[in-house]
Amino acid sequence: MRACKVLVVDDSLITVRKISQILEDLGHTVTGYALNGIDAIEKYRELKPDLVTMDITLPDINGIQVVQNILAFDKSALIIMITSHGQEQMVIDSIDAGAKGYVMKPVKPDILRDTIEQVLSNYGGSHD
Amino acid sequence: MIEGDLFKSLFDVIPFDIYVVDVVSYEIIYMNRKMIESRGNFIGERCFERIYGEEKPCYFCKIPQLIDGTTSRPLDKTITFDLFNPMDDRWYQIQEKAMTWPDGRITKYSIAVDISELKETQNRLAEAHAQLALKNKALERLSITDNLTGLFNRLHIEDVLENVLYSSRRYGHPSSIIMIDIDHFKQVNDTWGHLVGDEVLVQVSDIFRRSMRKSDVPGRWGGEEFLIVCQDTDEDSAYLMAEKICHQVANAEFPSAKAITISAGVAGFREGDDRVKIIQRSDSALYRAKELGRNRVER
Repeated sequence: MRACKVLVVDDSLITVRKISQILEDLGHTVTGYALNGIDAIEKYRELKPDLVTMDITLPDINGIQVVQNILAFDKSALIIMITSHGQEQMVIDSIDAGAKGYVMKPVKPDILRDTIEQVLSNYGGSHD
Repeated sequence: MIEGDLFKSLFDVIPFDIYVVDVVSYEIIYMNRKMIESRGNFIGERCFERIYGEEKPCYFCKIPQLIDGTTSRPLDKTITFDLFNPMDDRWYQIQEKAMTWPDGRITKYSIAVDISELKETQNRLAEAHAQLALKNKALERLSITDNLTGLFNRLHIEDVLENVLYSSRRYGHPSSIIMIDIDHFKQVNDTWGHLVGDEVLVQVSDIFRRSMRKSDVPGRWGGEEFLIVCQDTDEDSAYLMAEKICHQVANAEFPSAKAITISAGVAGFREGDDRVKIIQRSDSALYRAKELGRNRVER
């Protein structure tokens, strides 16, 4: 699997650390993190990561709005939702907004690995 | 303190985690035996730091909803919610209510039932829903895309055109279309074969995509014909854009074929237009471009 530069977005620093550890173990580089939506949008523009992991519940704007905003800036952005929201409507709203994958918390490393592989092979854009 | 002991003996026999928090200071003032055994003793520490790993009170804290804002007294209200706790990666169903602790302090008690096993199944279901939604999206995309060039197919570009014309009729916004045909395409196929013909179609489509504004919508009309729908664009501007595209194609290098050119017919929206009328005008203009020597734009 191609090693990616990843931006991790979650309102909990503990979760950011856990997801970052899993990503590093999978061979990716965590290029930055954001604890709220506005910061996530700014970090995306600044860091141009290959991949974003996105929580839905954020303290300012929700993760689905952040997905829309990032995709308006870069329509090839690859964003995977990592969330505790499992309601069907939330899932559909996220995919409609343009998220390319959906992983439930707690994050299982093999499920995250498979989801990233799937996203890269289906949408596989590279910023290189 | 007899009443306090009563609470404790009652809470201690419940086989779920229970803790009590001072609603003003967030200090944990009681944990039942089950919770101390499974998580350790946090009495005297603040709930948001020790139980949820947050630096400030949790955004989901229910204390404001459980206390009367005017009297600061407990409301007779119980709130039940599911919560994922990143501290131990477990899912809990939490029931919370405010109460007056025997020493007079206003507190909130929380009963937390570990529902991680139940959630595991729900989570896999949510991920399956996501897979299904993604597949639907991919199918939706396929149904409106021309699979060779990646441009919209005829069915979809006709829909786009209908919508743009509707907007012009209703709001008076200008709109235009450009009908494009690759010159002598039959010769390309006859001379170099259909695979080279396909490469030319793909390369020309890439030039269209690169030359356009975000609001212009290109589609494959059929064979070697293309239609570009330009919303909020009058005929003069569409004509200039068509000329630009025409030059770009003529100047492009086609690795497998000799020089390729296109001809284009431009038509702007006129009062009373429908899809058929505007396409007929762009078709006639394209015909004139062909008659006048090709590699040119007419209107």
